[in-house]
Amino acid sequence: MQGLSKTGRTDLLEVLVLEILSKLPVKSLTRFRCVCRPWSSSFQTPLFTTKHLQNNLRNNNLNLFHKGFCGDTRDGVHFFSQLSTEKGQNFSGKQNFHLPFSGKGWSYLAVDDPCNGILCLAGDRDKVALLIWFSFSRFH
Amino acid sequence: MASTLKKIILKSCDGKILEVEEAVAVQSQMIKNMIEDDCANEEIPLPDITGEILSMIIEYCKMHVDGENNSNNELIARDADFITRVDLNTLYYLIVAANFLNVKSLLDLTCQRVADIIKGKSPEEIRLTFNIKNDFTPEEEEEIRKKNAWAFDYKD
Repeated sequence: MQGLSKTGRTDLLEVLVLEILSKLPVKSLTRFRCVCRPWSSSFQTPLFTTKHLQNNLRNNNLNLFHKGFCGDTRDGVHFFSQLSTEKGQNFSGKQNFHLPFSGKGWSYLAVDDPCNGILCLAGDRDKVALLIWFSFSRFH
Repeated sequence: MASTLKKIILKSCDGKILEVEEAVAVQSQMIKNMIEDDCANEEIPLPDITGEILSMIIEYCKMHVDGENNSNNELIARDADFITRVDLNTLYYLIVAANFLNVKSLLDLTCQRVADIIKGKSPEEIRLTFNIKNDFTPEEEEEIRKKNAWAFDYKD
């Protein structure tokens, strides 16, 4: 495969590589954590996580990991979701939507005060759950 | 008044001279700064940018100046048309040049294009693309893969 490094020139500057990586969907980024150590640690720097969050918000994506506690289960379960932040979409799921409550009577979600990738979700009539959501790398 | 429009003269590393209208040239923040500092009256040498890449960048900047009155959707469509014609190798040079000339929107466009091309690839393919040596032990890599198993489902 033709590569970005096989041009007979020096490799792309690290800052430009990170610029590219900050535009990846969260799923790809998570997979690429095992590419090498420098990438894995770069993905966790505040500069990178902020940039990644901003890029995704610009594309109307809100990428989130969350740990959910639902019903009687005491063990938290990790989930990943990509929500749409487009106007009128009311944070509907776009893809990889593994909400624990889908199909369990959760028909409504309220999103409270999203702030820099952290937000609270509260759900529905007779069920109570507290969920704290984090942007991609804040989870780690 | 077209004849009085100021031209900026750019010289690529392979000696190609390009005359560019100021309105187009100032899409580059670097050139804009030079003009403001009164340093753009003579030809500007661009040591790392070939004539071919420079022409593409000027085409892009011109497209944005000409399209100022177009709708956002039209500009997005034009950007998409421009960038999908570019192969990965050329993208590399465009990224380096857009970064040097400080054309923010082109840097965003080119980096996003590379991200779109590589997003479905495996870590092994990524190492090849970016010429990266895997410095994890097999056990460490396996640990990361296990912990993030959901991300290794390639269906989407």
